[in-house]
Amino acid sequence: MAGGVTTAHPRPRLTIAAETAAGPRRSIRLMPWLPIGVIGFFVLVAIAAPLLTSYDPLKINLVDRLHPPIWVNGGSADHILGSDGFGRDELARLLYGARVSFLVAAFALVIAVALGLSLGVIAGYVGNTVDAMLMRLVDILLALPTILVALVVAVAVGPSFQNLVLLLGLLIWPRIARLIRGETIVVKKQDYVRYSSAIGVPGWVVVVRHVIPNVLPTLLVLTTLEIGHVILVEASLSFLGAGLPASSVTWGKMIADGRALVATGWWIALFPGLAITATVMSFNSLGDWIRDYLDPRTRHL
Amino acid sequence: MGRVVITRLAQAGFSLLALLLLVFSLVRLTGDPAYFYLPPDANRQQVEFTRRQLGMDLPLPVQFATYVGNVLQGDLGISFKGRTLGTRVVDLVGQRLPNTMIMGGAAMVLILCIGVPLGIYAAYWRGSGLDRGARLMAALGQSVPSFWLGLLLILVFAVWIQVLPSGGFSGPSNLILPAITLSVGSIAGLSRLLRSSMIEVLTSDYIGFHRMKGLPERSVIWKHALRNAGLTTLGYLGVVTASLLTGSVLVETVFVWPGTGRLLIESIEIRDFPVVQGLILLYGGVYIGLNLFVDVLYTVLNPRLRTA
Repeated sequence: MAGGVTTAHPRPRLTIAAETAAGPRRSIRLMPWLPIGVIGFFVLVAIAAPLLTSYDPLKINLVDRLHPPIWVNGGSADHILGSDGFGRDELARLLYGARVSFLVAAFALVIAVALGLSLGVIAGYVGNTVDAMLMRLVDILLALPTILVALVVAVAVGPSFQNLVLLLGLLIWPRIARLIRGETIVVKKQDYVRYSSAIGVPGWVVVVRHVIPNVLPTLLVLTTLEIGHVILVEASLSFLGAGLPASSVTWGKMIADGRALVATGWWIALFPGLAITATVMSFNSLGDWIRDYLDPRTRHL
Repeated sequence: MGRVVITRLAQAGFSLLALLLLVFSLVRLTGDPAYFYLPPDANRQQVEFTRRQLGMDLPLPVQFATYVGNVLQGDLGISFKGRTLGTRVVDLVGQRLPNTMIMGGAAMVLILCIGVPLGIYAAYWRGSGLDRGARLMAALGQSVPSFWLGLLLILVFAVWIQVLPSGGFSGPSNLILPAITLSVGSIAGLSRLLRSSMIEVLTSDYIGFHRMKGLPERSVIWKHALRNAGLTTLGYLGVVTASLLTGSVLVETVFVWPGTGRLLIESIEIRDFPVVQGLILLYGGVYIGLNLFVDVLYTVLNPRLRTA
């Protein structure tokens, strides 16, 4: 603070006032290039994985086990990020692991969004008993600790891609449905929606033409923020050995592999963890940005 | 207000019953546990005998009703694994529970002692280095997988510097790394939320009025501003507990901590149904109960919600 005027508490008050007036709005408008870049990078390497490495991420080669990364003493250009306890190439596993993370998140969210959007709109638009029943169901589902239920279910029905995706979708839709319902009720009370109904426009047309376009911004923000969440849950389940079958490569599983070898092969767990953190952080900050950009009202979502 | 509380109470009871039913049916999808406790070449009679011994020959609704009745009497059944010794699930869980509570308690202390001041002063000195640093740490803390962070801490403090133990529970020094690991995500969430509600409160007129009155700044922040900002943050404590519960399963696995989280993983691996049910019931019950408590407290403290 320049000037050195001493009043009781000049500094924080001025800062706050100035920032509320102009600061955040301007900084918010800047495109979040870093998160977009990180996400784009991981999506690209996930798609191009077979082109970027000639290694099979599952091929066990005990002769080459525990090679450190290239820049560490004893590392070689054969395994740029080193190799794990079974001699599998870390880089290849990292690239193929990106595929799994993104595919799981994408499919789980398709299910969650389909259920959350339709049931949320129905609950909000129809109201009454339907609303009450759906919201009780949402309350019950939201009261369940996600990872624990996912863990029990994953072990109960056996690890498979379909089961995992279905399960994650079913556990996440209530969060979406609850907020979409709220938004729907707001839209429903708008004059133009009430007039449409009054002149005899059928309910489903009102929903398709007015309600859904108006709840889309909320949905977009929620979905972006949930991607990071799904990636974290999938990694946690894989780490606990309850995510995907043993034949698939996932970042969570790589960390589990590295756990046993933490003293001899620190790089095995390090890189997948970094990848998870960078991806999740990017999706979170992108979601925050979209939220502030689209609608200052939803800032406290 | 009484009506609101009663409604919430009924809802919570319903959630608990649904949880019980869900776990009960899911756990039975893992396959017939009788086979799990018998040699692969067991004959039919042996299978039938084991099923009867486990109470698995009765119709499912009867099994469920019996189970709920027993739970209400505080009886969680006998562990499958220890059934010859008559090991009760309650005892098994009871042995492990204190360890989990110690870890959760330590994490909670860290969350409150770090998260609250961080949120408050980040809001107070908004835009400062502290604020930017805190926001970056919060974004990181909410994105980093706790089990990986735990591994990193083990690598640095137990393998490289060798100042702290890597796992187990034999003394207070074992508590440090797990508690840090478990608390990081919640510290991030709490400070972030508190920061945004503090900013809102600090710019309000009545805070300006308190300052004009000449109240000391400390009293303005910690008494008047926090009282209002803290209210919106209170609901978040439910989320914090939930993440502590879930987190404990992961963190206990990483640090080989002899708590209920590890017991859950072990029991799932050997398909010990009664233990899994008991633990999920415990975790879910705590989760639902705490959310109920927070909701009711919220209603009591915030008059505007009383008619909702």
